[in-house]
Amino acid sequence: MNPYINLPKNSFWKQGVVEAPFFEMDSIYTKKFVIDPHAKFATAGSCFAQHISKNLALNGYSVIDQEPAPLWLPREVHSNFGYSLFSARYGNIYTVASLLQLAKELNGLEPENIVWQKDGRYYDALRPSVEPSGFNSAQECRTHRRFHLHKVKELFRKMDIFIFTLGLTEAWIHNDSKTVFPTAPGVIAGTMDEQFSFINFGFQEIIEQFNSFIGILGSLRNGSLPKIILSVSPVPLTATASGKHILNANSRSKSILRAVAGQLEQDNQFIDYFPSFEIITNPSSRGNFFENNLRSVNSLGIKTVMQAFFNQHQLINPVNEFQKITDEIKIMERANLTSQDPTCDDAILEAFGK
Amino acid sequence: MTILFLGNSHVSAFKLALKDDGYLLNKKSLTYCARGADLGFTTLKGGRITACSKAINLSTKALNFFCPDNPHLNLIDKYLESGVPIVDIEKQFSLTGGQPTIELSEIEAIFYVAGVSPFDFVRLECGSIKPYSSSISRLLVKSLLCDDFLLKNLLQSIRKEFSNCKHYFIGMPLMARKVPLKYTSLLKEIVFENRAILDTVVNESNFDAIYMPSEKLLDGSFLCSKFEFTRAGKLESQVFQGVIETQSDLIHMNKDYGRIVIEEFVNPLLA
Repeated sequence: MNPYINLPKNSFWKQGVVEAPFFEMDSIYTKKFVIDPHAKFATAGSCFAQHISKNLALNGYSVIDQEPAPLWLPREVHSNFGYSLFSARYGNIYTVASLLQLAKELNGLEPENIVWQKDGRYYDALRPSVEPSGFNSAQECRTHRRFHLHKVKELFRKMDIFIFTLGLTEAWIHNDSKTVFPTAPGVIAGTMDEQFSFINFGFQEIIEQFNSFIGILGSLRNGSLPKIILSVSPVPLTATASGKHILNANSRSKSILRAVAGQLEQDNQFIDYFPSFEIITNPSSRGNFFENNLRSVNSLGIKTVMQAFFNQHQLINPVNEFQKITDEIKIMERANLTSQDPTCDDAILEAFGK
Repeated sequence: MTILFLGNSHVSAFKLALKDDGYLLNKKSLTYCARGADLGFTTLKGGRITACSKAINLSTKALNFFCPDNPHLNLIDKYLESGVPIVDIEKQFSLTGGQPTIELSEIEAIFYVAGVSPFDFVRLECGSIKPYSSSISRLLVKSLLCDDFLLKNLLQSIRKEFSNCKHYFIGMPLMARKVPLKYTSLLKEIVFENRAILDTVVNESNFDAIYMPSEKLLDGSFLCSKFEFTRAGKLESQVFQGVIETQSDLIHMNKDYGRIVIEEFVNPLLA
């Protein structure tokens, strides 16, 4: 007799990974709590979270859009302006530091150096991609940000479930004010100089940041916390400023974020971890969930991820029930399969690679 | 030379202002209207705006922009399904302007009095307000006043044949109503910034000028028309169009409204 004798198949690498179909990873996730079919979801995080947001809505869940696009704006340009991607128009929130900073802003913090310039236009440095051509003036930029914060506050107060996808540990900060930015100065706007520094957050820092975020969230909601589902983006880093090889930097980043998610899930009853990272990076998939750039997750990957999610959390809209994943494989074999790319600020960094 | 006010039921405010106060304009004027989006069924033929059997630019978006308040619940569907105007165009033109077709050879400017104004944020966003950057404002102008403007083709045809004729957009009045949201100082700031930004990009439309409703017409929010302009507005409009009067509404403005727009917008352009 030993402790491994009666364990289920999925406790073993051979049966759980090697012999299991990589496109049917249903047993990889067991929900920690039941989601009320009428629960109001809010989504945020790295670009992979956009897929989760879209698929939740497609399957009948109520995903809040607190900052909807102008009604007359053609759907095809929504994402150019940061609309219809997440529950508010905050763009990609790659780091927990940025999420915490956003929450602090709702509590009155006024981060410094948040209006960056380029070619005479003004950009919100905390979400530079939501206005691709920038604003006419710094004042206009600040007015838009105040409106955004007003909407985020409403969102944080009304959401029942918060889905957050952890994306990066690397970020850029303003040395004096410690303002954290999602993109490096000079990439979309602004100029890189000695005022700014690269930072690569570690495990303990991120845990503390998330716990602070939870504290502010509770204070905004009179002490009541939403349920939180964390995931780690399986999308590798586009580039690293750490000086390490991109593979090393990527492993460090994802390992820390995965450990953070696991720790938070272990420490808090209201936090669940959803293993989209493991599903996509499963060695048995042999890279079949990635596009040719080996970064973007293809539609088969997204469907496999969402299948695992909806295997535990009921489908509300059966009309949109997923087709069998095996059908997708056939499609993938026949076609040069591409999924609809999410909007990722960091993808622009690829252009700087020589 | 003559100017033409062309639009739907909202033309009445101008017709009556000019009728009672003819001195308002130093020009001869014509006023022609076809209700709802019936003008979508017109074309330029032989130098005249005439009825046509088939609308060219009839899309849900164009129809909604042109007559958003939809007096009949299924008006848009009716247009799309039946492909015909509510009332015969020639009859409407005869009743409201005196001729079944509109002769353009003497027209030096056309003022379009129909369709949602780019400054009508309540209608554009169905009651909510959001900040428009200059990029978003440009897209709005491109859609509302260019690509999805119901009379886009008619306007282009007139420009081609009568290159000296100017085209000015007045649009429909902002609805007179209680501001449909909590009007905070932030929203007020947004409304003022939106107006200022739009004012810098409206010249990128198909029109030679666009009217921005002023504080004389709007309430303190700059989102809605003052209630005083609705007094008898619908009655006047219905008499103008030969329709039996029911009661005033919050959409149709009276001749006082027309007079202000003429003084603020029309006359300076013609000076």
